[in-house]
Amino acid sequence: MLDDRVTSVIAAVKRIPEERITLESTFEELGIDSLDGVEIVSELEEEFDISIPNEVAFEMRSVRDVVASLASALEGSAGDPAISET
Amino acid sequence: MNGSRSVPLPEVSLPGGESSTLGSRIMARPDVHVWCVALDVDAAELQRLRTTLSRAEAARADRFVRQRDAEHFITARGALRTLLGCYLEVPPGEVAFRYGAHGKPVLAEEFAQRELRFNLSHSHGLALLALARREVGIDIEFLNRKVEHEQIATRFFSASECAELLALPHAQRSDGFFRCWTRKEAYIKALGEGLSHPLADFDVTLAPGVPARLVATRRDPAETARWEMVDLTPRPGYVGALAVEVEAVPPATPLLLW
Repeated sequence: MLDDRVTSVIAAVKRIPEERITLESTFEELGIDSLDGVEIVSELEEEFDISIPNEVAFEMRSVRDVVASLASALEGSAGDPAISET
Repeated sequence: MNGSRSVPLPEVSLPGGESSTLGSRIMARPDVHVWCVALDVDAAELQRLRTTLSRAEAARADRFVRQRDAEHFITARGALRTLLGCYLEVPPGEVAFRYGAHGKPVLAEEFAQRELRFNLSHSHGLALLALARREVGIDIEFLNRKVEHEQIATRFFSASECAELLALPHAQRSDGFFRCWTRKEAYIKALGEGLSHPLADFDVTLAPGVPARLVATRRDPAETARWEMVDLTPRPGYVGALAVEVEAVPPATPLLLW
């Protein structure tokens, strides 16, 4: 599940227990500043071998935004059977 | 409007005067003031600062997952309101903000005629507040913060910044990364565009001993002349940067257009 991967990356970067993070959590509530934000984007891009466009990456304000950006980037590379889920 | 741009900022005294624990001024230029605020305060001061917040700000404070983040938000906001209140000569609770498209807080319309611009940044328990009559952006980082700096630099910095960073001896790269990051942040915060402004579109200096400077701006080359950058060392272990709009210099002779 993408939600779980995103939650786990955020939990690791911010050293927050995963159970405190929900889809509705905002970056502000989690204490995610801009440097944390770019670190989270870099981690996800590396893990999923994708590229999240800057204009999308920097408009993210919540966990739900991150999941949506990741899903959309994965859709863009859906030709790769290794990461295609369907 | 331009006529008042050269008016120096007022000299303010904090409530409590010299013994005030709220913060201290670390930059004394007449046209730009920078205040440094330590965000770990005692319970009584925290409670006092909380009473200066708006209801919306108090609600924001209540939503933080970590207690310490909530306390730092309250202290930073309360100190911001107190200091702005000193400059505007109003009580902290009466300072009002509006927010730009990318979330940059500026003074509400009712204070527009005061021509006071500000910007706030905090990291690891320390906040910096810059005030000027021109656009201003500020950023602070704790140098011991653990980040994947080479991964982030490769992904987000410009090619020349990245090359300059990787050319530094290994032991100097972390500090070089934070100098570069805070200078870039200060500039885009001054622009009010947040990180929606592509970080690789402009270059700043980062090597040790080289003064902070905006070296190149590819979207609009004239930008380099419009901004001045200043290094700040608010406290050992921290690095800060300030970007302030250079005062528009009127032409020496009137331009004859036709």
